[in-house]
Amino acid sequence: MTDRETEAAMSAPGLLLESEFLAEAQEIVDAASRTLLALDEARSRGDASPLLLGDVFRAVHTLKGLAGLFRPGLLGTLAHEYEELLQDLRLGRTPLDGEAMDLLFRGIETFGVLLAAIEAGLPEPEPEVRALLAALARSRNALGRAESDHDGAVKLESWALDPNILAVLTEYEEHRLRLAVASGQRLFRAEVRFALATLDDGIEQLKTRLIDLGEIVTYLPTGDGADLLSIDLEILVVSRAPVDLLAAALEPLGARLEEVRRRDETLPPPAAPAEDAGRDRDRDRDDAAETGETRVLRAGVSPGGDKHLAVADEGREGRSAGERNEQALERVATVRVAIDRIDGLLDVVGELGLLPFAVARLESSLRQNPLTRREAGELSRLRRSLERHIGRIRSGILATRMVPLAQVVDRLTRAVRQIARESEKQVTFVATGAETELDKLLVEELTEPLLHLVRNAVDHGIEAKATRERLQKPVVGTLALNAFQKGNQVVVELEDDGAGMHPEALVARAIGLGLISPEEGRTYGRNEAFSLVFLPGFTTRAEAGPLSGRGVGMDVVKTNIAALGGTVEVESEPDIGSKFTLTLPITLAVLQVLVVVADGTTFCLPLANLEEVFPLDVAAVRRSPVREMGRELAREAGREFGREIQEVLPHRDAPLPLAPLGTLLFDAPEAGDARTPSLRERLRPGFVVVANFPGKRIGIVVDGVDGQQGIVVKALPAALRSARSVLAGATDLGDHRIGLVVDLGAVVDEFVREARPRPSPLALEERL
Amino acid sequence: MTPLMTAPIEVALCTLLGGIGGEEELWAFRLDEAAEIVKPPTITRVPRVDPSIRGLFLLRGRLVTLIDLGARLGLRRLHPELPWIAPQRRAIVLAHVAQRRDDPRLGAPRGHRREEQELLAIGVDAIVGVERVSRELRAVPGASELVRTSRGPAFLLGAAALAFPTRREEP
Repeated sequence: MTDRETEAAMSAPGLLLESEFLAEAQEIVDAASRTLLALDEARSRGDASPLLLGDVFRAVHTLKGLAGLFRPGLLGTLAHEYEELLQDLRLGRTPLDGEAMDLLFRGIETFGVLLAAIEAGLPEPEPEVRALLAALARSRNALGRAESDHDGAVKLESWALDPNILAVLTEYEEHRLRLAVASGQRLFRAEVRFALATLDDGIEQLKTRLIDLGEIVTYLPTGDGADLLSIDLEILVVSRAPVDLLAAALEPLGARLEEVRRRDETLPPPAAPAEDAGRDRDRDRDDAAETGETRVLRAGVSPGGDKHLAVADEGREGRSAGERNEQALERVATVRVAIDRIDGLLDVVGELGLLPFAVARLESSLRQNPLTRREAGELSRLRRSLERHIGRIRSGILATRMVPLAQVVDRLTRAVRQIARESEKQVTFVATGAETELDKLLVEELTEPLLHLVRNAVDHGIEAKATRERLQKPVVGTLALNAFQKGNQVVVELEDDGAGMHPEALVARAIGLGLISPEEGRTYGRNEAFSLVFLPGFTTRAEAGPLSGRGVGMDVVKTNIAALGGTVEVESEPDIGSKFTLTLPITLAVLQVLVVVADGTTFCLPLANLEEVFPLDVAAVRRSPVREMGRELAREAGREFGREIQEVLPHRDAPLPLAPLGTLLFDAPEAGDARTPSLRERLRPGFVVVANFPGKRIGIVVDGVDGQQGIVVKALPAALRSARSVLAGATDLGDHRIGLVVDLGAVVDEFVREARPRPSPLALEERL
Repeated sequence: MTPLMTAPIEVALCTLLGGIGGEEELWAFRLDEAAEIVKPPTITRVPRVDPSIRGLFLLRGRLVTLIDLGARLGLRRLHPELPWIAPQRRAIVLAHVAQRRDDPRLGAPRGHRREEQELLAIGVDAIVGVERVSRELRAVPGASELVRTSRGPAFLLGAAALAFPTRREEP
């Protein structure tokens, strides 16, 4: 906790801390975003549900309230203007068209940016927010008002409604009512009694039961509840459904339903409501029943409840009710925990994990003595039990860090929508397996790479409409994301039905860009050709488009995924489409590594990037001139290429460049030191670990290999941050040793590009 | 003029071989920052760090950064023949609160920030005493603070300053 937070906590007991406010605000924005996506989808079916719009409206209203408490200023202003737009949309003052949806989505993005800036303590992105505020104001002026009263033509007074009810309807309710009756829906009035204690549940049930049948315009308390513990509500419902269906849906609630007809359809009742507005409703109802003008259906409270529900789409009804319930339960049973606290617990468990080692030592010394051998056995049993329990605690804690992938999917859906609009393509985004759980940090770090892949797929993959028509493909392209768990890994597949890639074309392009030599190109197989897209600087576009094609990105995707201990694979068929498969560990916290020793220090190499390990035969090492490619890259990076000669090992028909891990990591020996032995002399009998990255494959020489292990990676202390250029972290290997976790991607990159400012010792030694 | 005094603080007094005059120098560490005094176990060298950082060691499962005070203060160059820390000597472990943003190379966690307590260990030759000293409010902010002790003046060192030294120019 910072001083400021501590201060806030002390000065305002019971209030949310800023961090909690931010988390809550972000949650509200996320929820609003999901609802907007649902609304957009419903709108494209021509069925813009007022319920969804209402949900967004309420979410933003809550956000506005929160912002007012914690962050008066831009956030509050934006929330207010956004709410105004939503209000206009609800009231039909502004049509809910593509433009309005764009503005709504843009608002969600801006809320996100603004909240992130506040959280990071950065200045608020004022120009961006101001631009959006201006756009909001413009849209309201341009679109709004003009035909605001187009539904006013319908005279509500011509329905047999109690004017007292009409008088208390809000503007929104009146608008919905006008719209509904103007479109030919029928109007019903129902009375239902709820116990005060369960009023919220009751209303929720009522909504659920009517959701597919009609729309509830308003609820008004009649004020004559039978006793102090219950309340009678008068409900106005508009619907196209037959009255029997509505009555059946409301029956379990004990509601009394009647249709409200137009006055001109009916004979004037003996006592017209207009003349006798204030009279007793019961009498009114009785009158109506006697005259037979309105159909009155009184349903008793049936003990069976749902069983009697004669609704056509029963399954659907039941599910949505269940979902609502689950949501409600989730709200109650969830606590928000700062990830730092979980990490703190993990650290404690890490310490706890050391105890069995100490016990094991004690055990073996007790075993030496015949008198204490039995105790040693007892101790051994206790130790194993301790180990088991520690293991359970560890997996329990790791489980609390898991969140569903759905968070990312929402952002991707928004991105696809936006990119498709910008590039004037039609794309459907289908996501399955969004409930797959991943480590919280992994989900966050997966977002950028996935956004990039999605952007590429829509921009490069999906063809323009005309092309698709010519190829007799469906005009609307499909981008499908599928996530599933596979053992200890999570697989995320992203597949498009776009143009696909020709392996030969990729190789030719890479040669053209000077990324590989023509000789190398000839040796490339199908899979190697596809992996060329991950080379830095690779692009298939002659000119950069507005969205992609600058040749940056895919290599970053690969690097980011590798940094998470994952891999990316590409498969593609020309004119059929491309598929990217991301394989990731379920949690960042446990990383599978190969433990090696070099220069007396223990290192951990992430297994995901390793190909094989074999003993080094020093006599087989050859020297070879450095390939042109490396020099080319170095020149592009504006660096001197320090190495002329490279030690290589003939390995599987290609020379494998060698580099000792110690030399790669630790600073080069003092320049000009004549005692520096040549690499060949320094190569001790050891092992070669082959690290494979797209277009880069090197043999890392280590002194010893200690086997494979799952480790909990800890970030390096801030005092060692300069080491983060080559280390991904450190770990307690459990036997009093620290393992330094190597960022293999960075190390290999550095080796290939030879981008270190200091000349390599190898180059010096050749000059001497 | 009598210097302004603040409330006295408790410090641990340590000596370090190879001071400016080749003699033992006295250094003071605030006791409220000091977590404990340990004999550093096996030290793991870390690549690409300032030469004054000797490496990492484990203290009950936590990573501790070990700093060579002599090198950090630039004294090592004066007496290169002296061992950086005699094998039987001890290290004083200081708790330091560092603020850290997650690695920007990984891109995604926008502004993700956390604060955590990190442990730093300073290698010293001997702990010679613990005492209460008074601090003077000095006119020059940022200047290293000198405190009066029963053994003479001592420099007061803080964990934050040691964890993040001002960058020296690379040759």
